[in-house]
Amino acid sequence: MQDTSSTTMRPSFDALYEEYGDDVLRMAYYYLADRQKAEDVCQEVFVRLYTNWDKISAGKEHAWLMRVTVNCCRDIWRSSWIKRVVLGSPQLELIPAEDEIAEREKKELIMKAVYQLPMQFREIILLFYYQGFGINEIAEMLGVPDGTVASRLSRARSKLEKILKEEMPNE
Amino acid sequence: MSNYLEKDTFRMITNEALGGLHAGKEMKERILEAATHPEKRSRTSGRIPAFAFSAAVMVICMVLALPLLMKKPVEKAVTVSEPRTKTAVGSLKISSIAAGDHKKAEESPEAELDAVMMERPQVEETLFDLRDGKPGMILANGRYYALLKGSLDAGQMGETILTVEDSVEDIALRPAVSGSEVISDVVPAGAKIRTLAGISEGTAVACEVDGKPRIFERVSYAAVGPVGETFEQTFSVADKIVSLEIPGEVLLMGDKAKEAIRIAYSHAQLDAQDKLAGDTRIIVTLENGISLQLTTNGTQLIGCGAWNCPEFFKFLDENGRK
Repeated sequence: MQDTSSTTMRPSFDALYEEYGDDVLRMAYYYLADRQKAEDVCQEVFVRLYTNWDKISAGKEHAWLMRVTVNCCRDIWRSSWIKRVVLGSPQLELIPAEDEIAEREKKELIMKAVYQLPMQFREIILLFYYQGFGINEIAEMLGVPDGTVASRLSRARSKLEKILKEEMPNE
Repeated sequence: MSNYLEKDTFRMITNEALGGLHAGKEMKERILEAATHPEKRSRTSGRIPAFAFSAAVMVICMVLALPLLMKKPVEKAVTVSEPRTKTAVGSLKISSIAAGDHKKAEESPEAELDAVMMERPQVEETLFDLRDGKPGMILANGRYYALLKGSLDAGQMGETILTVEDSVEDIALRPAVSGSEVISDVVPAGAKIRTLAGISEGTAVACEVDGKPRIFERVSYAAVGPVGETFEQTFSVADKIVSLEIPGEVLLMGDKAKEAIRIAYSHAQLDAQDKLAGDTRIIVTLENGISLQLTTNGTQLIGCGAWNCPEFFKFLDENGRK
């Protein structure tokens, strides 16, 4: 790819970076709880977008970016040493929102509750609720049957609700 | 807040919570530089080992420094009847990111290493055939089996019992859903899972990997271990054992080796379902030349499940010390 503001039917590289750059970075951070590695993943994902530009179907860019993001994060997560020794219990620190303290605390609890979920549940929650993909899109992205995604989503919701019920019994 | 699990709400909350993370122009410039000049590229894969190495150095320093700080003598001798020393590992606490803070990560405070003592299996000495740090796996009918090193004579494989239905990238990311799935992250769909001649499916199975017959030993994994089974049912080989060895520490031959395992059959109590391995291996060699692996952690004997059995270690101590 020579021109980052390509005149093809799809958005330009610049437009895609503008639209999805933060999503990729935040997804990666949510996976890894490490800003440096999240930035590395974001860089890697967009380098791959640039270098694979001609192979990516128009209209599928968002799904492609998220699939590559998930795979890059999985690669890091899968590393036994990282997984067991370093990422065993990282703590996700959030950026406080500029609203009421009580409301902010609730939001933090929700974020941290999602982060407590096992990886396979967390990624489903993020892809479904954060990135807005449908069951079949996620299934295609992860290479698993629709039923598996639906099942994981259901179990993830149950686990999340259980965690939040313990954390916020009055809600 | 009860509607947090609606897509728009969740996205809004997440974006607010992580709003300080922004893929800005500087990053885009780095991306374009890396994409157009790959020879200058700072690769993620290069950073991870470096990061892991740094963590390892810190961990090793901690291990060495802790006894001094605590002013206690370092235990130099480890006996099989005492809890074994463990390697310290750390957990990272990621420093907070202030709202509106668009600093590069390099400028952020270093992650803090909490001094947490955790078990870390000495996997480099394991019989498991590690790929990306973990053994290749088969999940079959709710049982996990880990690939062992070394090949197997074709004649040692028995009848076909199952066929792998699906090949997955990493079995850890594909937990059992139905309980009857047959999946693997090391052999392709269609691969035949066979019995290991003379050994029960509760203990091990055989399957070809890259065209060669290999042993898959049953293990606990992903919190799935024995299901109402005894240690004997998960490691049913006592009458076939010719030797039992903790390399460098213990060697039992023939009847003594059989007796040691039978003691475990009689006394082992299930402690945990989710331990893949402990910190010391026991090599159990059978009459047909096959070697299986158990590991230990303190008074736990770990195969499929972590079984507490001080009687087993007492027997080793009294009969098998080198």
